[in-house]
Amino acid sequence: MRGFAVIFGLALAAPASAQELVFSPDATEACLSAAGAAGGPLLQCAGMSADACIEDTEGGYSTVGMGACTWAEYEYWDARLNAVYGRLMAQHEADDAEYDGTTYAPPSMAEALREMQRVWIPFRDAKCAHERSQWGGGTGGGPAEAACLLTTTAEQTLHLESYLRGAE
Amino acid sequence: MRALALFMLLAAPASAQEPPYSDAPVEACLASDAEPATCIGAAAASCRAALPNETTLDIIACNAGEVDFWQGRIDTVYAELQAAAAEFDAQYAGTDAGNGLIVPATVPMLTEMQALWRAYRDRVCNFEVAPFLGGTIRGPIAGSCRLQVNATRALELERLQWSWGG
Repeated sequence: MRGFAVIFGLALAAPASAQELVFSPDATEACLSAAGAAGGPLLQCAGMSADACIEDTEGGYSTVGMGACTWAEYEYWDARLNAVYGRLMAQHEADDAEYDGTTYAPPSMAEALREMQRVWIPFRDAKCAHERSQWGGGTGGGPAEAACLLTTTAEQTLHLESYLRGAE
Repeated sequence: MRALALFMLLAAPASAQEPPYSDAPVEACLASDAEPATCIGAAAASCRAALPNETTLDIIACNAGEVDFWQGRIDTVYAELQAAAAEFDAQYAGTDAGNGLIVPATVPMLTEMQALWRAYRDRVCNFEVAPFLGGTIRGPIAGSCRLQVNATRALELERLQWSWGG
């Protein structure tokens, strides 16, 4: 995974300096607000900012442009995942603490959350490496892996957000 | 009177033991134009709706029916993906991709991915039932978690199969 990021990052570095990537998470966030209000599926919003970026960036429709825009939205979701994980962990650690020293304490929710996320990461990486492998080393593999990381990370983020108490 | 009471005693558990589970509602939904994800839980829901005085065991049995349905779809599509991966590997694995890279074998990746998914599935449902340890609601919560996770994975593998032509 890290190796991929490095390779991908190097490939992107040159064009990014030549022309600015026009990325904003607005399209995804607007879609999430609308879908949330309508009770519709939220996952359909994943990728919308990457699409807008491809549209708005000069040369966005090139393989490099599409890859960079996809990677930019993946990073947005990755930051959002870290944020929700932190909030959820804080909620469960507080709950766990209330049971400290009691006889019939339920199992630690914080521990169960940590275990779940600990196995999700290698699952995501294996899933997206497999997706890349479908391209047999061809140039489509990088963008396919980036798109897989974007979607899978978005899915997990939305899943964890559904567990939050007092979620917005 | 005593005979009637005895009859009722015997009759009640007998009817409660057989929730009317059928795959038909979820299959009909999947065959329709509905977004497949919205079909998840349809068979378990009809099974439960047919039992106005459902017990915890009924809910567990209704969920288990649909858990098995999705597990069957996972097993089918996974076997097809494995066969397609083996065919791909036989032809391309180890060859030059044309850009200096060697085409990797995909069977081990597919196997690894599914093993990691199983580990993840177990931990998601552990997390969801953790607050209910010891309560009677634990069984239904565990079952509906397993149903949701299995169904999501089945649909995901099926999409993978469509895109890569199993």
